[in-house]
Amino acid sequence: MMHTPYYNIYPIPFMPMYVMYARAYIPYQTYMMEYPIREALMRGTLFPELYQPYVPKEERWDK
Amino acid sequence: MMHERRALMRKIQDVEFAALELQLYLDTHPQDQRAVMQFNQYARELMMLKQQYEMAYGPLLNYGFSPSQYPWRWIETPWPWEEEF
Amino acid sequence: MWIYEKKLQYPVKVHQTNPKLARYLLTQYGGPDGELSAALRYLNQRYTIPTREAKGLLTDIGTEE
Repeated sequence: MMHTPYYNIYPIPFMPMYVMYARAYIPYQTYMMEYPIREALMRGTLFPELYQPYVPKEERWDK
Repeated sequence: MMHERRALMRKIQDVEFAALELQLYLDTHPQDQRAVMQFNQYARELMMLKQQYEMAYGPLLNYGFSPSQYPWRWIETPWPWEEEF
Repeated sequence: MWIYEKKLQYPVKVHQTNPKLARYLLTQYGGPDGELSAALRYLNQRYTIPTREAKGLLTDIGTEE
């Protein structure tokens, strides 16, 4: 799993090669590592890149 | 006895969740060979665990997908809402 | 189309009576934006979605919900 200064933001090449203005794109998931399976069930996802727990607004970096 | 049943059920839940996650991932990433292998590995493990569970504690599925010992075991084990973890 | 499995996806232990929480759960479960209607929405949208990937995904998400 790559680490960045920002929580849950990954430097992945997710955009299509050719993009158009006024179109919405969804980042394509890049799967590298999985959580241990017990931890996955507790976190609600097997994939670290999809782990997005609820964080109260005043504690978020992007509030 | 009760404790062992719950521990086995927990293990089944762990493995099944991993398989479910890979299932969803593979729907949009069908070419990821490593993920397919992982999925098959969890699927095998899950089948073994469920077989083990059903032999010891009774059927998990109704409608003929799990055989039953005598007497009829479907109504014997606790229902999910009666489970204590 | 589906069969019942005597098992929960996630371990749940009910250890107290809590009507306030129960109301939230009931809404989440059966309410208009709840789990049940979402599941059926996914499973109905599969019939008109064009790609194989999306048909699979809607089937599997609808089943999971």
